[in-house]
Amino acid sequence: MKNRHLFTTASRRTFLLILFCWMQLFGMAIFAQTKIVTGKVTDATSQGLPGVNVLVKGTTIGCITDVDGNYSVEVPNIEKSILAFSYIGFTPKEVVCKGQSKVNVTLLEDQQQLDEVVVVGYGVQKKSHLTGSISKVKNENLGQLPVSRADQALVGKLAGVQIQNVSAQSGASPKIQIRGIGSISADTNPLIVVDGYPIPGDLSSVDMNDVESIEVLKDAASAAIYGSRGANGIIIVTTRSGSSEGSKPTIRVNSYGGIKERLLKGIERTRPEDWKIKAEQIYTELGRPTTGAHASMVGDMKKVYVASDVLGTQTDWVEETIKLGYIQNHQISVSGGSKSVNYYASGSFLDEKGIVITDRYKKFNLNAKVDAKINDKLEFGVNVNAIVDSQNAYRSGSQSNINQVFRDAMYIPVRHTAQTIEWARLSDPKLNIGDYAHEYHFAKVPYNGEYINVKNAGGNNGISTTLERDDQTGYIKALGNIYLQYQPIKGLILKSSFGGYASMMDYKFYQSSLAHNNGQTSGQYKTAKVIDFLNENIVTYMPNLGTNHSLNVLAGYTLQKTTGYGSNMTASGFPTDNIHTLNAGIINGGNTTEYEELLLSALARVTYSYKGKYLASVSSRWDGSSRFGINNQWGYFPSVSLGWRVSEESFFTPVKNTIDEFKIRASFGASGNKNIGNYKAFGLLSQSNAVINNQVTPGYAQISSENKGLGWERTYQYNGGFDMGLFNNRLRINLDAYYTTTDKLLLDREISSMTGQTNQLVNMGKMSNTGYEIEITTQNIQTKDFAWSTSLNVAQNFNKVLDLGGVDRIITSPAGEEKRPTYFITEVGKPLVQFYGFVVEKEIPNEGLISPVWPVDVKPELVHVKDLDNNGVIDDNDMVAQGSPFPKVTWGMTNDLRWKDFDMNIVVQGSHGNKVFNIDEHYAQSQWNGKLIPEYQNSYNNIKHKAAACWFVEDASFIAIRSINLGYTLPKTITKNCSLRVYAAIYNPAYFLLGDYQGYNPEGIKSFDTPLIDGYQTGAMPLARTYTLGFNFQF
Amino acid sequence: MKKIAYILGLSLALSSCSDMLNLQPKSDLTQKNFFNKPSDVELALIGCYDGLQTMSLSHDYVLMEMRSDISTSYLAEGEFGYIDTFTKDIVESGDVYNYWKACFNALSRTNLVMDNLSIVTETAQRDKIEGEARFIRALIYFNMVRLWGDMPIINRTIDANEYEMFRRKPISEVYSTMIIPDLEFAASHLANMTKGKANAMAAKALLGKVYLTLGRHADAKTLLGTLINMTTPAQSTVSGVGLATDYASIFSESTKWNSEILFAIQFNSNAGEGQTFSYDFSVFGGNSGLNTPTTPFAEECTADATRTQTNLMTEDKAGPWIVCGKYLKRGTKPSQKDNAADAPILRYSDVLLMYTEAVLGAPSESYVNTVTNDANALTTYNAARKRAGYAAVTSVSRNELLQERKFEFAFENQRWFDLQRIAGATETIRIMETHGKDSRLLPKQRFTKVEKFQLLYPIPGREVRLLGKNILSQNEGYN
Repeated sequence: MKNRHLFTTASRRTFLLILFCWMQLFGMAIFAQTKIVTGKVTDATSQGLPGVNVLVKGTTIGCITDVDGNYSVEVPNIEKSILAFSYIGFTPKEVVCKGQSKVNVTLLEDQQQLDEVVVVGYGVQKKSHLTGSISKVKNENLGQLPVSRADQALVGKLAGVQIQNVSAQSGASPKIQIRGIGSISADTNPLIVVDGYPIPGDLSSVDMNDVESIEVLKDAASAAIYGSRGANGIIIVTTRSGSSEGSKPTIRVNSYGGIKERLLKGIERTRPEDWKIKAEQIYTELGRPTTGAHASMVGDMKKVYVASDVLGTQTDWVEETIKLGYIQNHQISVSGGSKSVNYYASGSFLDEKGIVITDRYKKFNLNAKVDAKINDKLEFGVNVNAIVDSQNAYRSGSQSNINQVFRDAMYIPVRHTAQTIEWARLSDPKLNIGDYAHEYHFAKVPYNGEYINVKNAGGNNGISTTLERDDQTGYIKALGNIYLQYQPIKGLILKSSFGGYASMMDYKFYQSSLAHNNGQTSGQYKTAKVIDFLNENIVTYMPNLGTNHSLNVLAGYTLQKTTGYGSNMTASGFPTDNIHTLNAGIINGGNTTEYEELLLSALARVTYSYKGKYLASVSSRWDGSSRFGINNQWGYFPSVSLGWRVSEESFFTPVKNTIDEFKIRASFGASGNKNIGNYKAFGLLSQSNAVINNQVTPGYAQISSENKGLGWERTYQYNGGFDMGLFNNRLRINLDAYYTTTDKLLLDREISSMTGQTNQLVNMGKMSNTGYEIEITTQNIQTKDFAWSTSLNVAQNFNKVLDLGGVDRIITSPAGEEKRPTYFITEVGKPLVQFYGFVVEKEIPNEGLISPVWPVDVKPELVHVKDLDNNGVIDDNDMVAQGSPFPKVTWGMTNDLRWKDFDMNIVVQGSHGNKVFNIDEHYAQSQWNGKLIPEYQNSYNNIKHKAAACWFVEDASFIAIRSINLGYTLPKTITKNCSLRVYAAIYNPAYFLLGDYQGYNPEGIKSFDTPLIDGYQTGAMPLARTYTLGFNFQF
Repeated sequence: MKKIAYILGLSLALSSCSDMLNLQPKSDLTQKNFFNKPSDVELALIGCYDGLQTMSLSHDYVLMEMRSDISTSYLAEGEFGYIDTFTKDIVESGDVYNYWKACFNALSRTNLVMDNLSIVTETAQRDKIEGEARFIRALIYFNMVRLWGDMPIINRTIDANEYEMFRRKPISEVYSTMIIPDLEFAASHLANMTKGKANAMAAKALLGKVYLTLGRHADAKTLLGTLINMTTPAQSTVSGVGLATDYASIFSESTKWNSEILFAIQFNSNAGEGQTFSYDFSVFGGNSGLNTPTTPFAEECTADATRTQTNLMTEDKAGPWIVCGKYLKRGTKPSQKDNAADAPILRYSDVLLMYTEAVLGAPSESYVNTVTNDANALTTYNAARKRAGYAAVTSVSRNELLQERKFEFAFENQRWFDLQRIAGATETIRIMETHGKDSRLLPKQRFTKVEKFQLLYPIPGREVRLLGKNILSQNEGYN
């Protein structure tokens, strides 16, 4: 929002310059003896630069260059006059006329960007004067990345900002974590601020093409101005504004399209034919038993033969599920302005079809922004952004994961053929050719004069359960903001803004009668509406205190109210598949709910610098939130940060030739987290109906216990760092190190279910994050025809639990996975989440299985574990932590290359040391069917489930080439007043798995209600590689 | 200036902001504003019945019936199979934990009612509410001590930090301080029969079963005797209560809470108040059928012709599959819409057979097949069997009673407790090991041995981990 302010300042300046130009032209006619200097201003590629300010130094004479970069200015002294050329984003240049009447100038892009402006909370600051830790990404070609969301385009771009593609579903939100996980039970997503508006939503609300820049406030001192929402870091999005520099509207088009294919292979299944050979071998090794514990193998071998010889491989279910996808995105924007009004408007359309069948995402976006100057003192602006999207999910609910297709036997066809229908009809005479084949239909396959039952997992056809389920989530998200800015005296700005954010979600689900072999139909309709209202009133005062002192004082208060409405309705028993709306079925449940939240805040900040060398900033924010207990609603979040621009000192002059810029920074701040949901401090009673005498009768029961003292979780962070520019700023190094502690953690602790409840939200415990971030930017080669620059960022974060409120550890199991007991441990002195379990000793040998030959590729789900303390009993003492899902190192590297009219951008990203619990193998090997002989099982006391023995924990470290974008800009000689660039991009061209991970997406995570479980993967949606062609057009 | 005035105005408004922050929940009630008038306590009482529903929906049959010799899960997959086939390591079983959790949640609901009884000033109304809450509480505790043995005594709403409350107390203390006084109160303060709600008749019958479980057979005989009209034993002394003429109608959705039902956990197809077990027991349910008859039981059933038509059902799903048919609609494909049947807890025929059991006395350590020809014991026994098409007998043995109850109460969560109560521990293990868990699909070999400690379930691992073994001890045999 503050950027707007910038542009208006710029526009005012431009206006004045135009005026001066006019005056000069007018004056020319009168004073003929003054000399006229003309020339052309070009960039490094010899393209003319329009709109460059040309000023005769020491005077008010000046003008701006025309469309082709030409200028003409009258100078008072043709020998001594100095022409100053300046243009945003370029290094200014001064040239002495020396009697020449033609002065051509080449302006170079400002590589050091020292005077780049960075958006901070409620204001802007020069980058050179920053005292906190803020990363900035300018949107140059991020809009060309074939991803459906703005946050996905930022992967690998920001040091210390981990953006994890936890689901490869089109349109799915990634998990964003800034400087590690800072909370246990409260949500750890950063706050998203769009043009000054802290939205109760995520980055799906903006279109990357509309983004001008993204700033991430990483240290607590920077984030403290957002107080209770700062602990997870702040992502500030500044959208594009119109420019008043040229009065002609600029139209930009960005359009691309391409195809998507599977990237990682995942687990390979054994074909029935191959399994026959293996099974025969196992059977022979066991002595071809016909009686005793292995007696059932006789029958099972027949099943093997039926599967391999009679039926054979009918379907590769993975191939049936993962197909080619596509993506297309088109955006058009118009921007422009005049001296008093500037505007920007855009519209875009995205259509993505994921590589997994039924995975589809569509998005429409409209954005409009107008800023206007009413008079010298009064300005106002309005912006509106709306997004409509819809997402079709692959499967849904309890069966959301792709590993479920592993349950489908490969000897079953997707649909019945002339061959299989005969056998299927023995079970169900009503079946026809072309009907979905379910395993149930293969209970009577004739073989050597008898019927063999090759039904195995009892599952339903994985294709029918996908195609015959309609699972669609749609959102309408709209953000509107209007502000009025009043400047009664110079340096004092009063600004009031009123904004609204609305998000409307509706979810539709329909399961047709063909999905399941039982023909059951069901439907669901769910809505969630969020209405948010924001009022901010900010006073900024920047008195003119002379050249030595610079002061900026900011104070204000804000009010933000969020109201949410939800509804949910379910139905079943649809008589026809032709109508999917719930009116066609029998409604069997429905409800609506509402909530409200209020956040009241006051904030203040003083920023001071002395001689541009010594920098200081102090801020405070007071937040009152309705979410906390009556005794603890208000929180105070102060911060202080200091900086010293060493390179500005006189003693630094000797090395200034090498080191252009050197600044040391230090900060301390407090920020909070209130992402706990509403009404958590109350002891709530919820409607709990019962049936009395066949009547549904309303009743109430307690669902949570009261905690009047429930209060803020508070994060304190120390941050220190330096910014350095060397060799004409061709090498820039930014380093930050931090130490964060969070105490009074909002901990949804598990309590004994004997209380009637299983969890209770309390303020308890303490955690720390320690880490560093390095950003290195180099201009490797910079010639007229060839340029190469590299930007590298590396971050390490060490998370450590310091206190868990009295207990030294918490062991958590994912709910709903009791069949496959899995443990995560949270231990004092260790990272928040670690995989926990027994240690594998050896697999169960084939002798221990009743039938190690059936079903295809069967393996036991149990395993022998080690008795670590050798006490003859396998118990908790034999369980140990076995790795953490948190990466040890993350890094990203961007290379920008340019050769003549060609440009290329390559993003590489790496994550090391992160482990996942990937249970795909369990399904691929039908492990639940690998039953042990009871005598065998009961004769050992060290047999546990593989899940409990961390069998499935894999090292998911990877290096990914995220994207390659190759572009060609057509020469101006062809395109004239327009510009046209065509490009080809590959997203995810290559993934190098460095560990033993064998799934579809090393970052794929199933999310659970508790953050004490992380890195749990069950059938991660497969990553796609995307090839696109596109163009940017501007005129 | 107008703007400045506006800002000043807002500043003033902010001074009252602390009040603005006190937003009350819109879709739930709070502890503080809830208990104001007697009808609020009534609402909380309905919450207790809802708690019973949740207990029933938490796969209670897995613990109370599928462990026994008469039923099994078709595929024995995952943890259903572990409980079904006596795998030793079931400490982390989700089924064990879920039922435990549901029991204690329902228990806390009854205690919430008890804690707020003082709001109800009218004695008659208060006695009725208290009686119902205490009946439900006794029922929960009775199930819990039979499944887990020693139990903490929690008789009021408690906080997570009241660790002493979580210590296990001997079974005898749970009976003497909770179950028996609660049932006695309910028996003396509730109306004899209130359809759909806890009542004195049900309280007395349940107390009879408690006495039988405790070996107080004489007390049981006296108490149960008061409930039976010995001259027309098909009728209770309580008006309106008696045997239903048709066995199938007892369980039918269309004849709910018929004359035979003393207490049932009730369901309804509307507003999400349906159950899941009817469908779970069909071939379409989890594991291709949960709580399905074992092959030996299904074979025995063929001799019990009348009731078998109700108890069992043959579904044609790739060949005949025999499943529990007690709660399913006949003539249509099993569907999740079959969700309205009630779960019977106490029936009048149970009272009749308990009377016979009371006369037969407690089982001895070394199992003896006791026989009785006590006239009243035979009267009640014959009355209960007549409906099933059996002629009157002149003597009844312990084996015969056990066998009779097996058919009469199949799939009503009685068998696992009946075995231990009537046959005793040693004989229960012998029966289990002899019959095995043979089903059509799975080999007989899949379980061979039951150890005595397996007659109780483990305390859920989560609970022991949270509180520590010093406070919450684990049952013997489970690590």
